[in-house]
Amino acid sequence: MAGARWLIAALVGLAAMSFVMTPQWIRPWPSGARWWESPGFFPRIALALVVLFGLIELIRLWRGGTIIQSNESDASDSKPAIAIAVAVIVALQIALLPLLGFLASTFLASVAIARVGRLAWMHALGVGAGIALLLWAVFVQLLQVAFPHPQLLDLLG
Amino acid sequence: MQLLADIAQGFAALGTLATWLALIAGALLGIVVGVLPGVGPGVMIAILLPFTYGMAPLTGVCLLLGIYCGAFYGGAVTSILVRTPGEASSIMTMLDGHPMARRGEAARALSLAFMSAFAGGIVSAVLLGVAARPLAALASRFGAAETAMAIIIAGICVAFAYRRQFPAAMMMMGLGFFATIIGIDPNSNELRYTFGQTGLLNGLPLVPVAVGLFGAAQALVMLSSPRSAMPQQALGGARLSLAGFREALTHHQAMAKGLGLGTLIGVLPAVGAALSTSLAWFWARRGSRDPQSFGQGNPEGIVAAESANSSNSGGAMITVLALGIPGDAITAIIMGVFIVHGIAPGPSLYTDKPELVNGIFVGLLMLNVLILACLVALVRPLARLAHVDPRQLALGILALSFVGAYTAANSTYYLWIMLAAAVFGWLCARAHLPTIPLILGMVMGDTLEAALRQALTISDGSLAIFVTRPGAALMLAIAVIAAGVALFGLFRARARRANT
Repeated sequence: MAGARWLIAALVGLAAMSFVMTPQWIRPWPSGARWWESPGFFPRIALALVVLFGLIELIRLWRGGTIIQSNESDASDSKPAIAIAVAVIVALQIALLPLLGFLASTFLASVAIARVGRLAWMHALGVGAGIALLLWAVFVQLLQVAFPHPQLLDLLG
Repeated sequence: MQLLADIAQGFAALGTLATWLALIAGALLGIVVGVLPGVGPGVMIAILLPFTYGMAPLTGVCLLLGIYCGAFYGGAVTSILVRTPGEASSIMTMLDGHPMARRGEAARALSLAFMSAFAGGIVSAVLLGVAARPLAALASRFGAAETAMAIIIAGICVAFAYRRQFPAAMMMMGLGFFATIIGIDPNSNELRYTFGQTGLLNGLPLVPVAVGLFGAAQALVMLSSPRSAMPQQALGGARLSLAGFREALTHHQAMAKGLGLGTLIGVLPAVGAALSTSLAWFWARRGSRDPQSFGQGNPEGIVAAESANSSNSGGAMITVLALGIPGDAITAIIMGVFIVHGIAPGPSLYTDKPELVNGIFVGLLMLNVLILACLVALVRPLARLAHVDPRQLALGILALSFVGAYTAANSTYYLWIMLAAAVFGWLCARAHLPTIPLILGMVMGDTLEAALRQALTISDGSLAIFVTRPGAALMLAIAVIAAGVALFGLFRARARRANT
């Protein structure tokens, strides 16, 4: 419940700030444009929707309304530490992609994520190798997707 | 005659090996995602969207439609055998299907479900062929004011479908609209909210956002949530019977109710299969000679629910093809295939690309035949896929999301957007905020802005254009009533809780 309030409040705050800052954040700002021709017209409608309905939802929650579960993905039981760790590993995978190339970065990231997901070492290595090799064969070798060339190979001569 | 000509043209359009392979692969993948725990068709369709770039538009759409339709069938397998509905729309099938499976009639229950889903899929595809063309002809008379109002109605209907989450859904749709305006303004070339970042000049791309929100975010949820074990023995009972297929056709009333409700509700934006299956199930129970046995293994319950469930597929495509407005997240992503290939979905499709529209219509018909054939041949091994460890699935989804987001533009910038969208999607899943309206907002935002600006330019800034044109006024009235009913429902629910 608290998480939902914080997330909605953050979205409402950001939207309200963007609404106010629109003339500064659209460059160059055409001050003489008629309201419906202004580049800020539609963004302000969108931001007003976020602020208005976000506030309605916040007031509903503040007055004792309950969080209603939708039919979409439910992460109530999800452990934030694991999700954050996985996101950090993916961020490292993206950052290291130009250095290590696709095959090595995918293998390392898959093994690390599998370990974070509490798969046994051998299992993690097997799944990581399988995923990396399969995707490398299909997308790099067969479909010729141009992933960055591993700079590490150049550095090592 | 027009229908026969359309069918002939549709078959001719499907006449390439690549398109048939896409139909078969889509059908199989759809059944698989329906069976797999925690992976819905939206996840798979979002992941595969970037890979359709290199395909012809019809081939790409057929692949994604196969996944969409196949999942309707696949969801019944685990609902009936292990009482685990993969999708909300399979819950009503579970109510009667699982009791039948427990008393040793799993083959009968599965056969009833698949034949009913087959009938639903065929009827909804025919509806697409028959109804979409006149609707497109009507929509082709729309001016900018009517187009804007049609999009606003669609948006409110989507939020309305979330019932007590109406404000949250509207907020997320506003966020989606905002996401579309980042970048260079197409009208006046000003830079909007780019903060000096060159990557943002072309806007926030739909593909990595969709892949992140639906694919990678779901992988984060699956990896970080506790696992539930599937009973091994129950899945071994997956087989079919000819008598069960025949029996489905003998429950005329239940099937007619399911087909009628499913196709009608399928056309409405975002109302979705879950509502149509529950309404069809309750309606069938009301008219049944043996209403007491509903929920304890009555075949009519399965027939009504599954025929309603599957008959949503064609209806959902009608609004995309005839109006250019997606009804749900999946059709929004499928619309992405058109947009990527520079094709504007909507009424002009029928004059500009009739072979594409008819190809989709015939493709939907063929998909239902292919899916049923795949299930007859492979139901047992496919059912066993439910045993796959969700963590391994999540690893595969994450890796495919990574490749998919990268290949959309061969850019690591897209990977960062995908990761940001994944984290945001996971936060939304934690907070129970709906993300589907966000994607719908992103898909419809450009058209809405252009239509609003054009309408107001015509009227020289007068809002009267939305009430003086009869079509626009009617749609505005519907939109206001729908929003009013949704908000009134919220306050009434609160007052009721306060009284109790």
